[in-house]
Amino acid sequence: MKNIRVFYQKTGRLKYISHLDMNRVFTRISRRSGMPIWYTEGFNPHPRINFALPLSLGFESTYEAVDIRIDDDNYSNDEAFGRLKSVMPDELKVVKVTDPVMKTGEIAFARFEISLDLPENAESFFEQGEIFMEKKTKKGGIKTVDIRPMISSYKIGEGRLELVLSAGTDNLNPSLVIDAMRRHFDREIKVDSVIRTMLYNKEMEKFI
Amino acid sequence: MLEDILLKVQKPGRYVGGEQGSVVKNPDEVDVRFAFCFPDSYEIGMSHIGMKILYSTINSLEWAWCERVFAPWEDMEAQMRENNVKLYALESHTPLCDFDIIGFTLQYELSYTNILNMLELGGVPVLAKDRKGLKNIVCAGGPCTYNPEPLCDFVDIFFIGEGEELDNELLELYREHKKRGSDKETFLRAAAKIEGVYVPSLYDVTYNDDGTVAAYTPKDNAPATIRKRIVSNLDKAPYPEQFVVPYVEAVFDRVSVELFRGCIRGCRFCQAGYIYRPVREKSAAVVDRQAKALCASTGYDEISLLSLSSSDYTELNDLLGSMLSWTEDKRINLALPSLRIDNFSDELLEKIASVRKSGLTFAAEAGTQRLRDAINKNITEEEILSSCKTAFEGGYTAVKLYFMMGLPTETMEDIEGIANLGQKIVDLYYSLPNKPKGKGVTVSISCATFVPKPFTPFEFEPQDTADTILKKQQHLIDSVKTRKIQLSWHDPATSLLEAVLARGDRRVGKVIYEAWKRGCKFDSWGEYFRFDRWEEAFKACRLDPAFYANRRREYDEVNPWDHIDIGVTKSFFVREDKLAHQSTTTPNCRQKCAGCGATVFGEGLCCEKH
Repeated sequence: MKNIRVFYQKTGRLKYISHLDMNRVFTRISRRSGMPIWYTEGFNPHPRINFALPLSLGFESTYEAVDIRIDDDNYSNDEAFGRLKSVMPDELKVVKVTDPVMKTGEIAFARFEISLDLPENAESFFEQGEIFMEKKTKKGGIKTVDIRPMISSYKIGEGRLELVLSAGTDNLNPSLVIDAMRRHFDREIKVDSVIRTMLYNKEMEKFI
Repeated sequence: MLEDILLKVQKPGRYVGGEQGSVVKNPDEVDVRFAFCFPDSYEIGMSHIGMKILYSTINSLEWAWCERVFAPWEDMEAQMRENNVKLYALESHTPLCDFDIIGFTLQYELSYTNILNMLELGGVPVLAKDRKGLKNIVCAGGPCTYNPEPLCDFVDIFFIGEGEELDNELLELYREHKKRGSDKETFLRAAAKIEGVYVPSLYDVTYNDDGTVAAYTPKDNAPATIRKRIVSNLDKAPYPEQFVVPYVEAVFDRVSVELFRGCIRGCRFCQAGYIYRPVREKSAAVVDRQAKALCASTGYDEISLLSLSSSDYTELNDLLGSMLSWTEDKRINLALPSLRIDNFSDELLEKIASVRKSGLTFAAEAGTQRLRDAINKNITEEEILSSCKTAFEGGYTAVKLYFMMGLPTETMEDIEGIANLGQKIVDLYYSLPNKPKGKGVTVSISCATFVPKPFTPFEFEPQDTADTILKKQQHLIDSVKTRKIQLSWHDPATSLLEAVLARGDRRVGKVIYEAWKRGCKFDSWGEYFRFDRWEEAFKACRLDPAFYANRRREYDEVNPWDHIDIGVTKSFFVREDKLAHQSTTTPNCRQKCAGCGATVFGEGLCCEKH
């Protein structure tokens, strides 16, 4: 058996499908594809499907990755690509199928392109030394965290913001950054779209 | 507009469409647009096999387009009202008011207020008389249409019976009339000529002083009785090769294939067994083929074989044998609900357990042999215990049993019988030498309140009052002496309302309207059901729910559904009700024909015998 890494895009209406639903979506896609899927043993056999990094509800992405375990060491990635392409909908476009290189745990940063109603002098927000925000902890509590160090880089455009944020174990959701901006500028900021466009390891190398 | 709302509500994926298997056509190339509305949430409605079949049969017509509409959840409805977004169909996001024909499926009575709510939310006048012209014809199909009367103020056309052929015939007629520019009345008069179509506006109802129905009088050449439609040959009947596969979680989300329609057993409380007669089976080869095709096109990992009594399916063993030969390899689970407790064999258990164990549920229905005989549930205590024994020895440690309380001729002794039976099953478990090691047993007893339904022998019977039910529930609790038995039941108020709507006449429509105006919707959901508002609605209409639910009806009383003809005759139901009061059973159709009247269709099992 081997794992194939499927790179795909999640766009349009599919941004309303949650990460948890995606597991079920890919289980069915795998079955329909006709690929020799590997199943777990035991009571409730299911495929082994692992996503690189969860994507929040409402976000689109042009660089998604999911690993699927195949029951054939020599299964061709080109064959997998062809089969997946024939069963995946337009809004879940398969881009390429490769052998996994990095471990998903190595993901450390994510790039987002945000189209929004950007306030004048947006620079001033990013020039702050510290930005304290309340973040939910994994145990369901709330703690105050300085999110500035988790903003690795930013680029300001016309009605556009490009952010590279910490991802993985130390994760910063762009919604939290926008909320911080709302507080800083003391006004509503309407967001039109958030697209995750790339994933990186801690050396800033593309996740592959 | 919609985009702004979607991220403010729970599970927005329910409102966007674009699912795999959904059908998108060019509206300019289509003559008739049909909105198939399921009056409950997306998660519930997407499990409905009828919608899947008709979605496929209607869309097979080049010139017609069938789209789906579900009831939005409360948060979405609030957002839609606030932002002036009308209820729309998922495929095209077209608002309901732009559809030619709006069809509802009536699966359960407690969904009725949702119908009104969806019409209003869709910009469609709720009352039939307020809808002029050919646009927005509202029709309805499904099991509750067998007593359609409470919905006559709102629905223009009822489809009585199976819709595979009937619906398309109506659509053809509509297309013709739309081309001609007919008015609504002309179209409805023509529609009434199609067998299985009931147009309520062509019937006048008169009442006696005591409130019972005096007569239904047809006008404009409408037929005196409306005979239901059936599909003669299930093997040849259209069946989808593709299902719409939801992205979000839905109930019973799997491939479903019917085994047969109708039922041979004749249990006296069960409406489905009679309204779907004559019994017609699908051949095993066809079931196998259809299941295989659907698994391949959808990617589902579970198949459910559907019928009213699956262990009665003639070719069951052969079918399971051939299906297991390919489902096991593909890790596809076979679910076989609706098994009868009296023919649950080791062989069968082995077959269904081989991929994945699901829970086991049996419908015992009554706690004593005397009462089981009265309701014609022909199973003995020995058979119940034997099936449980088979299950326990096969590794199951939990069984669920369905009962009803409030059945005709029932006494407190019968209630105690439920507890006694549960206790016997628990004792049986512990007496077995080869029961599952180290595990205790759970016997779940679910006790519903009996609701008398039209087109059953018990259509004449009164429902127990809420007081009586509460007393019986308490008596049951007091009779259970072990913690291994878990009891559950329904709130009697919902059962009372169900009973009124099930056997209501046209006047009940006003109550539904009043209840809806007072905010009633999603009545089948515990968190939404507001009985106080329904009580106010009854008072406002000066109608007494007890008149419909708790009154015994005379055999010669005209019932509001007597002008519907299902083949099975009223005289048969009278005979059966009398036998019930003598605790006498009737054999099943395969043992001996009871002369119910379904032979009039000349199809299915009845033909094999005659």
